[in-house]
Amino acid sequence: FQTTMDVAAEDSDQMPSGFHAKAAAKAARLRREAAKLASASALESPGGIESRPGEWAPTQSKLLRRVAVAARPGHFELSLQYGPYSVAYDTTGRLLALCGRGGHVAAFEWRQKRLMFESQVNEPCHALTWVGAGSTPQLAVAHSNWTYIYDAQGLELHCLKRLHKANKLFWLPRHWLLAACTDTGHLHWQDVSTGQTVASYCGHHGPLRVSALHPDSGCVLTGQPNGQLCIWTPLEKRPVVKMLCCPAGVRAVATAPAGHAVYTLGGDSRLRVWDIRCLRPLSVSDSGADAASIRLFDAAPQLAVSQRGLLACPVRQGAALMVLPAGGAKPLLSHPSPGRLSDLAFCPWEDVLAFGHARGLGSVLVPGSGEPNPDGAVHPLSGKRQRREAEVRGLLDKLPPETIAPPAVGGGVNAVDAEGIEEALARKRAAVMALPSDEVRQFQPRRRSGKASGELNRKVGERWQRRRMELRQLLKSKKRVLAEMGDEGADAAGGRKTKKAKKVSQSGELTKPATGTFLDRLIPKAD
Amino acid sequence: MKNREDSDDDPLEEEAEATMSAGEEASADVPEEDHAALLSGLRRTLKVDGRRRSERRPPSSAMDVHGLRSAGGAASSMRQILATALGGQAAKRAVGQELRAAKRRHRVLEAPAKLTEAKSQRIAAYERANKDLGRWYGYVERNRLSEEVSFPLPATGAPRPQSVSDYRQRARVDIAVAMSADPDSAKGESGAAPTTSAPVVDDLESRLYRRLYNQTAIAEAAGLAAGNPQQQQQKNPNQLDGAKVRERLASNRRLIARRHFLEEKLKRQSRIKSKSYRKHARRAKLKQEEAELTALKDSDPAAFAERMAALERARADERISQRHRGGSKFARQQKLRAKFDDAARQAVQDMIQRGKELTEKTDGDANGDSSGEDSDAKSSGDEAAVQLPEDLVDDWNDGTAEEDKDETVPASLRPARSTGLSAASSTLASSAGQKRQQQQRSLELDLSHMPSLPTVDAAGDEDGDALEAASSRRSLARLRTDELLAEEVAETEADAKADFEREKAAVADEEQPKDVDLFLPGWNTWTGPGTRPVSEERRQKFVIKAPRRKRRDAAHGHVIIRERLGAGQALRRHLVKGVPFPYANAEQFEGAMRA
Repeated sequence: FQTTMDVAAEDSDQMPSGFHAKAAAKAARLRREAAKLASASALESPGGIESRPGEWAPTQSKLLRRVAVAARPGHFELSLQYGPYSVAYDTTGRLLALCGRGGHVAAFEWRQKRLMFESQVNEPCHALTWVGAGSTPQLAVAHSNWTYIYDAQGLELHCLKRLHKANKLFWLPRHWLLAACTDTGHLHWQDVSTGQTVASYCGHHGPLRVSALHPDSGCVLTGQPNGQLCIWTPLEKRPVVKMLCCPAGVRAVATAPAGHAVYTLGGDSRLRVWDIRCLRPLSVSDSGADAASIRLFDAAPQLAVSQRGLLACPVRQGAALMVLPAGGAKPLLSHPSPGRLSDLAFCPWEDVLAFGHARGLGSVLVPGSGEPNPDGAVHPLSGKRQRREAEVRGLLDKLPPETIAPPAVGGGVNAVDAEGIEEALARKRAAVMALPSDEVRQFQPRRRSGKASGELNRKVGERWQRRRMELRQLLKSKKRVLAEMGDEGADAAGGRKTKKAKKVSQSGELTKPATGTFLDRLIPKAD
Repeated sequence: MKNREDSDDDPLEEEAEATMSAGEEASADVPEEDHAALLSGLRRTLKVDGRRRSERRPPSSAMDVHGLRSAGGAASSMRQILATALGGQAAKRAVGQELRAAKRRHRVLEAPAKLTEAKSQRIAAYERANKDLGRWYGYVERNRLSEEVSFPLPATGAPRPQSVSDYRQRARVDIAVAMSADPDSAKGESGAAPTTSAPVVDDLESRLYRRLYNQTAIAEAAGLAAGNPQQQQQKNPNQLDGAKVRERLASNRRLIARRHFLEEKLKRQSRIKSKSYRKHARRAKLKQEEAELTALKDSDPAAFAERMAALERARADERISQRHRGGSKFARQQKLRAKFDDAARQAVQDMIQRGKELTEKTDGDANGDSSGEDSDAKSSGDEAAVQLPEDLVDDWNDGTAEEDKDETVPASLRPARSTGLSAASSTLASSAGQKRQQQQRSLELDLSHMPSLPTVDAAGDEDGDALEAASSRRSLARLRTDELLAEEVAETEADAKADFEREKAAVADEEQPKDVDLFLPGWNTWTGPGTRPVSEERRQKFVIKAPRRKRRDAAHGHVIIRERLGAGQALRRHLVKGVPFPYANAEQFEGAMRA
């Protein structure tokens, strides 16, 4: 796909005029400058671990000796007493929040180890997520019954009673929705900007303990004990897609933050990877040709996927964790946990993995996990003003919940309304090609004779008038349809707009499809 | 109180009245002949004609000298006339007496019995019907108020009379009852022979009828008819004599008092807090139970078997709970049971033994704390080399997952709620039937036999060394568990697949648009039976075929995709209406947006 400017730049000798040549030269100069600028701020290359056969995975101590000083704060260990803990990074990757089943809720900037707040809520906390974009971070915490929202100082801002007994909370940054999967088996979507409940549905399959968010599309994925993976959107009270992925039951599910891979861990301890676009399994083994799944020994049911597709999962029943490369089965590294693992979270834009466990919180370096080149408006290096700007922009560009659609179903907000275009074309075609009836076309007004009686003349005149009216109606409807098309699909249909056409109202009516059978009389009249 | 008209038609009463009036007349002084002469004289004097006295006249305030019996006022005025006509006091008195006697004697005659008979029958029948229907009010009311009534209704109430003669007979009996119930007439007829026209039948049907309607009065009537004095004596069977009543009241009082004392005693006992008392009470109760059971064994084997079955059930319940405790109330009961059943004794002993085994501390658990500390130190220290289990490391290094060395830990040993683990464990139970649940239970029980399966508890202080030590110890048990689990998983998978296919078929069926049949019910049947049915070809013309849509998930066996009609429409509002300028088609534009 080339623009005309590209073509012009390639062969400047054959320019039609001096103006075009000048323009092409300017474009070439600009391109050169841009390239220079890009080389100056060269894209970071992601790190990684190269492992040779027979070599053991590197330990954290080894890694710490090798990595840059700036990366070292990523390795730390917090020994806390109100475990097991859940952890959550915010979208910038700057803040880390934790909540324990013992009621301990805290948030801090993990790089500087600066505590933002810490509180004891005297209630078991099961899940948490950061809410809001950038400048005013808020923390949603699922207590034993209700979900509370705290600000950066730990003040309780809201109590969301609708999100009752939530097991998992998800933040949809583009839609400004807070989604919850609850122990009562319900799914809720709450609009954080307006406070309205967008949708609440019952899953009808018991407590929803296995769930994940597909960030690209905004769908919520839930795993069921009967081995089905359900994909939910707020507009459908039943799952839009159901996929039988682990017949022995789904124990864990995780999605890649960018991309289309969905990881499921089955009741048979098998890890499978799926492409959410075509709903087909992906190959996971790097040695075997077509290994549809790998077996994780003593795997505990938590999975986390990093921005670059590394997969972290607990092994030895949560006594240690290991990290698998994207699409591979050979572990990159592993790390023991002081207590039983309860939650895993990769830090966005950083090579850090945080894990909550029964005795506190740990953070380890995982080279090559984070995306080194932030492309969003919000990232760890964005300043306060940028974050504020991003928040306003996020609100202005907020997507309606209708735009949440699983990629497999098609659609999504980036699609073109192909059906609509087709319909418009068909209508236009019907209107343009429509002809007056035979009777009207073949009508010849009787020649008037002076002798004809007045009665007959009157009748003929009336008939003539009727036919004129019919023709006029036809013409009018044609014009109206054309005008309507002028707005929507004039380009596609090759029609032209007229000034007059714009005045006609938008509410055109569809002509009846002519089936031409005796059953037409059964079609209700349009009036 | 009965109507007077009822009694009037009674011949007996007429006779009685006749005798009474005769007696009265006999006691009066004035002779009949004199009286007649006086009256005839009066008639002559006053020119009063007896035939005209019932003539109807318009009411008038003026004195009517001719209408002797027309009104009270007329009679009194006549007496005045008579008095004036007679003159002298003595004669006046005699005449007055005569007049009063005459007035007593000559009442206005009632209508003849043959006229009132029909009416009295009607009245009797009405009352009877009222009474009969009154019995049904409760049922009718209940049926009206009830939510639903199922027909036929349960047969209650009186047998219906089968024929006209039955009705007649019942009506006659009613009349007899009415007569006997009337105290006035009953007083008069004491010695007289009854003249009921209806013979009281004594067949089975009538007896049943009487019994059903509890009409002792009928029986009475029948008794009267037979002239049986015994039946008259048994007029009120419920009536007791005074001594019996007193005795019964006294016994009632005694019963109430005894119950009250017992209640008080139990209350008192329940408030006792003494442990020793409780112990004694418990033992006494147990002894009592034991004695009862022993007694039952001989006296009532059926009840004994029932008691033993209940005890067996209690044992089964306890086994499910897996507490295996020895000192509970349950255990005491089981000891009681063991007295009669050697196998039970052995079972209880086994249970207690198992409880001891399970609660015994193992070596791995004994050094759990220290190993936890070790792991802490390791993770913080530098030489935190991760020692993956050997078999695991080998597998990763080979790059192939060998199935033989798989080690799996049953999902049923995990805690609930915190994670998705319990979801998996519930998998095993969810889609399977009763049989499979039982299998799982047996699986769990088998696992519980194994002394030291590695369980990482919430505190999570299991170390690698401890794990390895445990692994060597439990290898045998694991083999068995693996086999069981593999079977279980295979079965679950088959079930899940079958369920999924069924669900997919149901969804496809639901979302497929249905044909519209415009052939209305009743067409071609209006002319009645015998018409030829409409040909199928013609009928099919009225069916509008729904378009067959190809499903999105047709190509994927493992996927169900629902058609999102509403959501699709809602989304279309937000989509790009046409292909924007530089792009040639929709695919190009969408590709650019995706990139």
